[in-house]
Amino acid sequence: MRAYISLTTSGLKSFVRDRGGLFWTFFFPLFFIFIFGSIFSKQGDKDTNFKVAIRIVMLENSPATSWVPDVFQNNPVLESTLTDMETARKDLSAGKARAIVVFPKDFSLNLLEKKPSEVTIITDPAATQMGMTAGTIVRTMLTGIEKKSANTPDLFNVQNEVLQQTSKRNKQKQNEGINFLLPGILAMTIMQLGLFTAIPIINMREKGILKRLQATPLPRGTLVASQVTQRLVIGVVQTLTIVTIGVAFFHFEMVGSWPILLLLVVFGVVTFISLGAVLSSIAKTQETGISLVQLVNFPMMFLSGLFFPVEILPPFMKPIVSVMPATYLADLLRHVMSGAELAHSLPTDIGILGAWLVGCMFIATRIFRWE
Amino acid sequence: MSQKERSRNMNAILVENLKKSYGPNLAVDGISFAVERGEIFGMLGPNGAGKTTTVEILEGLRSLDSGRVELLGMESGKTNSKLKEQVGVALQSTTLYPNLTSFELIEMFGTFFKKSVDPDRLLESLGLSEKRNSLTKTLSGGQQQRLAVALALVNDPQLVFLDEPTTGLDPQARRSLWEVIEGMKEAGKTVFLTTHYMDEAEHLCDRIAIMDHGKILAMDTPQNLVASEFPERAIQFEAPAECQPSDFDQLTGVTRSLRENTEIVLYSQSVQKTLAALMDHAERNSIELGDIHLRRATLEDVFLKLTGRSMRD
Repeated sequence: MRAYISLTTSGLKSFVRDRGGLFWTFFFPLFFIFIFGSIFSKQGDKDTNFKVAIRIVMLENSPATSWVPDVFQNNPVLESTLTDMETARKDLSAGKARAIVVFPKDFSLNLLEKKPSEVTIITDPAATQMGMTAGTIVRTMLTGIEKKSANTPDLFNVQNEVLQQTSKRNKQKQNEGINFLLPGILAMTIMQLGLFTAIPIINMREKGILKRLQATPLPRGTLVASQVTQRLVIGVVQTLTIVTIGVAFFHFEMVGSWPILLLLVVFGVVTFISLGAVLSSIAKTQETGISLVQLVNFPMMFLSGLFFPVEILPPFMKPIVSVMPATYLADLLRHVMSGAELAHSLPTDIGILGAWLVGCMFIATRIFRWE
Repeated sequence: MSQKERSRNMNAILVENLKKSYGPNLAVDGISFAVERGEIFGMLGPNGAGKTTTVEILEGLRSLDSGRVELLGMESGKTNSKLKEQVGVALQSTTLYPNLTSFELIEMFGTFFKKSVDPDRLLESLGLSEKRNSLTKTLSGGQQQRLAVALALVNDPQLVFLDEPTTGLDPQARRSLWEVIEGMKEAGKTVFLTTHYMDEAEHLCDRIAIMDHGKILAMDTPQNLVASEFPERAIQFEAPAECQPSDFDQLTGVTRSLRENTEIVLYSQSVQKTLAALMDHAERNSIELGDIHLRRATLEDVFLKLTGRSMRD
């Protein structure tokens, strides 16, 4: 245990002191976020000039209440559309609208009887920020209407409701812009963190460090555990950095659970470390090691749907895409972080990633060379 | 305790009929030797002689094909961690963990062993105290070698392996490392070292084994090796390039002759007669001889005779 701790802390110390390595580990993913993120947030700027889209549903079609849509229409920050309940729900779940305002069947009757009417505001729990904004605006407007009709102080009894069936949410919104990009970049980061483990391993072998350690009673398992731990620590710090930057600067909406995300990060790091260990056993020198890692890294970077959806790739590439582990890691990360619908099924994602993990571990334990 | 067991316990290293081959290449061809406790034992041999393979088998870094290796009365093996607790190893200089300080590196290695020496004391004994907080990548070649030796001593081992500890060091750095190695002997440790330097072997080693082509060609104290292999003395002189060493083979007392750069070396058992004959020969053939001098045969001569190669080939 003492050896494990000292190896791990020494490794991390070395990592932090290696400015070059540190730079690439954090600069590279952040570079991608800023490049692609700026492109997306330019589109987002248009959004801020946009009005907040809402849907108005009148359950009663009466001339006595036809003034209601007009009031909403006249609000400069709202873009309201009168529609039926079904369409409204669809639009909300697709992200085309941020809130639905529902006026009850007995609205005109209540107006006559000067009784409060139950108005329901439905928002999407996933799009919390926009939903809250829309809800607030609508509520403010309703209060305004109440004030104008002085003879009925309690015109509305506002009910809040959230959209059910979140899993059926259209992936359009959860899968666009930064919400698509950021999990992809995290997948890339995890992939590279694991793959590039090959280089220090080859380095340790070339320089005789592995040999030197073998001359001590240090168990090999401790060495392996320490290497994996170091990578996991780095991976978690990278994850926190990437998500924080995404949220702070690019309006990334982290909807999933952190524990599940971190669990997924661990799964991804370990899988790609195994792949890195296999590569490190094939390459004899650091130079061939770097070439080999890049040979695996580059296709996965661009063909696994990390930066853009795989749908835009030519069909003949589909088989390559469908065997690459990064494809499935990115899919899982998007599901967990952005709440996007899975492109594959959960068992497929976990199964294929798991197969890579088990397969690479099996091969690595067989062909790994200590000297 | 039987006689055999007792003698085994006296030995720090016992090797019996050790063999190791890589594919068709027989790297170690059935060697046997023993190193007593408290001895400094040197292994010399040209590159590719099988030295490194032998040392790495002893260090537990390689498996053997056949034969037996016992260290400190224990069966040697890759997984014998009880043995590894008692053994220290300094491989040829490599910068292990360039971004750790000397202190951190020694401290980390210490945690691999059940018992370890205080890093500061170790740094002091190797003259590295002022480099305590320097990253190891900033150390000079000599300092890195000393750090490698420090790592070999971190577990206060009974048996220390040093693989060419002074290669590439300036004379002063070599001298200071020699003192460290002599200090190990004084502390009762057994030292097994390989070296390229004859003067180092002569100065430090109680006994030497000369190895080539996977076999041990000779093994004894440096003095005995020279005396037994070379009762002759060497007569050395500058001679014109067209002179062949064999021209002098017929002179009285000459046992061997060879050319060393601009000089010809004649080994003779009766120096006086050979010198007289040499002068006579030069006079008659009008050969200009320069810088004639006499010297004892050295370990270098022994090595050359046994392996046919000079040490630094």
